[in-house]
Amino acid sequence: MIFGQIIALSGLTKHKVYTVYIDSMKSITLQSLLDQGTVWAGELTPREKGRTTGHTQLDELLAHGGWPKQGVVDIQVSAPGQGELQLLLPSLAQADERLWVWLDPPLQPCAQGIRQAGIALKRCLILRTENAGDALWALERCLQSGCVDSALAWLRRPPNNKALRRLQMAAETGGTLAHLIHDEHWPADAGTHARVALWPSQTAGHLHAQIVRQRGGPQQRPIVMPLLAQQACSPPAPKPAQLGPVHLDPQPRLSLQPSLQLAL
Amino acid sequence: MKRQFIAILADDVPLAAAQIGGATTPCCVIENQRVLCADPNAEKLGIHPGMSQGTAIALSADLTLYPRHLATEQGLMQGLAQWAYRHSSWVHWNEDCLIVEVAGSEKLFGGLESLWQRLHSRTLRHIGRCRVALGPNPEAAVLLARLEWQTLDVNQAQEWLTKIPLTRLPLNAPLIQRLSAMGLNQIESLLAFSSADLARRFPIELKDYLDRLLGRKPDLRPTWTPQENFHSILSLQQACHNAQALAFPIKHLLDQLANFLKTRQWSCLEFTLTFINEDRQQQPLTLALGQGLHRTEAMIEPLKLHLNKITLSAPVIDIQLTSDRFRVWRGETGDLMKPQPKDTQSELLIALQARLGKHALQGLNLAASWLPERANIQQAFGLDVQEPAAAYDNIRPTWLLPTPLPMAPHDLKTLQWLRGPERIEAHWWQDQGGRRDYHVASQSGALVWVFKDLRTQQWYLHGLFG
Repeated sequence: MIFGQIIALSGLTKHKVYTVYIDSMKSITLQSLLDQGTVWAGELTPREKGRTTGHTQLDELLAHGGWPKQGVVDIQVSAPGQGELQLLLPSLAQADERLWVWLDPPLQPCAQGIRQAGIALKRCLILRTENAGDALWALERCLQSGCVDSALAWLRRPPNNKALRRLQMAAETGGTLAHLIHDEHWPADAGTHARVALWPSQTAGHLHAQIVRQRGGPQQRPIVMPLLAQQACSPPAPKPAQLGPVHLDPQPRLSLQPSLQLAL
Repeated sequence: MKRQFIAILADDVPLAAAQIGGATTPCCVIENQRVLCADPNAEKLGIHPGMSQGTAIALSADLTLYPRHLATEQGLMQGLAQWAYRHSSWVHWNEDCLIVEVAGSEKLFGGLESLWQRLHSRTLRHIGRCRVALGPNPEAAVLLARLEWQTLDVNQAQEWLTKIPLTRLPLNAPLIQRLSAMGLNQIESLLAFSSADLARRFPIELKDYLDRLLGRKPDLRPTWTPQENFHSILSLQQACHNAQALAFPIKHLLDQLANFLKTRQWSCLEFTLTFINEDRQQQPLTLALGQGLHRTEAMIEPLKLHLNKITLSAPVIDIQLTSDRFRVWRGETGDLMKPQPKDTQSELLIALQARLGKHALQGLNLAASWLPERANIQQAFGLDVQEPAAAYDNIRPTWLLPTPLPMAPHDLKTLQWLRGPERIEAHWWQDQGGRRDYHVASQSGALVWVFKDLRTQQWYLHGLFG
């Protein structure tokens, strides 16, 4: 470890001194420190762009203009099905060819729905573990491997600081983004990159989202976001062609030509 | 082209076998109550091959004695032969000696000297001290190696053959005595006899040996051919009680396997380790390696995870590694500009499978069915996935309940209808068929996917837009 001091200039008048501990094995530049989000840099812009969340409203509030490129983010929802996947799917649809890991999902993911969001099914790896130790190990192993793009984990209990630190390190090694999805019983000060709280809105098909805490940025007011499914729920105008439910039917679609149906 | 052979006499094979099994220094290997081979530290204490066991113990109290393990030695020699096969198509090995034909591959490996160096340094590294020599035929090469008469010129070696003292020939003692009593000292002097004379005056093995040494008769040693399956065995010097501790000796076996795979450009799909205890009872452990691995470091990780899980039924003395499932190795080329990932996808999957079990890894797939519960399937990860090219029009949830959940009438009143109905009618020709009207509704803010079974008029919750 080396011991260093960094002076961050904010405007021309004020300056602040930060003390940082840096792993001496890595080459350090000011930019790399800012990218890690360990140093608060005042009004220094532009930052390194993160991964876009796919929701413009949310991108504007997040410090990196989206999810961090790598790191651990936690998402608080009271129960599964409150919009946590709707929040994440748009960003995943733009990801590269690497794997997307689901660790201990509480319900069965619906392949058709996932495919509809534009995600290749062969990228989805669902892991089922038997105990908390295995789950943490599997998550860390996936994060550091470098062949996982992002991971979605439902951990049985909040990881302690040491475990979280390990997850952070692993995510940085592998260039992976992890989302820990949990309920409101987790401690408020979990050392993750950011915490996003979600709760359903009174308006049907909308979602309240609030950035409770984030590195390198302030807490934000709750916003109301429309769910993707809501956008898809635009006025139903069933044409005959839309009635065929599935895509994979071995038979040709029969419903296309009324004359053909009559002939049958 | 004149053939040339390099012979390597690996004197330290018994010692190398003992060291793989966990021998500590100073040590020596004992056969028939006599020292067969002593390591450098033991030699400093004055212990030499041929000495009796009692004398060796009397010379040093720290000395450890190990019995000879022929099976492990053969495994080592075979590993060496396998490596040498990369350099020549004519390779022969026996317990302590490896012979390689080198004239054919001299040019390819940049001359005789570099080829010699390659063979020599490999043997030094993997087995230990050895004697190397070049000869015009296998028998001559072995003899010159035994005498340590070294040259890189095969004509020189041919000349030397006639100068070899008869006392150094590997013949039986009475015969050698008889020859010296007759005043015959060098091979040269035997050449004065006509071959009929030689056959009449001396036992036939002398003429036979001479013919082979001078290249008058073809050498009929069997050459080594690569095997189709991998099989290797290792004997431990001390019985091992702890499964985790076995990882170290097994690494030697995996090194051999990796070498076997490398020469064939294969990757291994599965291997079996058999732990054998003192009563010759076997405990097998089979490791599936997914899409295939070929590097020792990659194979070690799943192995360690498996070893953590098993308990040994009895202390292990022998370990056997076999494998007969291989695949052509397909290299993965990483992106030059991106940081290299720590491991490949298949390595990650194998590690996860080793710790979490076979059924822990699942993937998603679609099936050709109209019913959502049949169309969306979870299967073992890695099986073929059917990806429809076009997105479909009808909205589907992201979470699907494995079985639809019946809804009470008062639940229905809280729903706010957003879209529907979408009728799905399927399997009407079977009992379990259904006629359903699906709706998207909002339930206290969250979106749900519900349907009404038109045959029973019952409402069910089937999915969540989570």
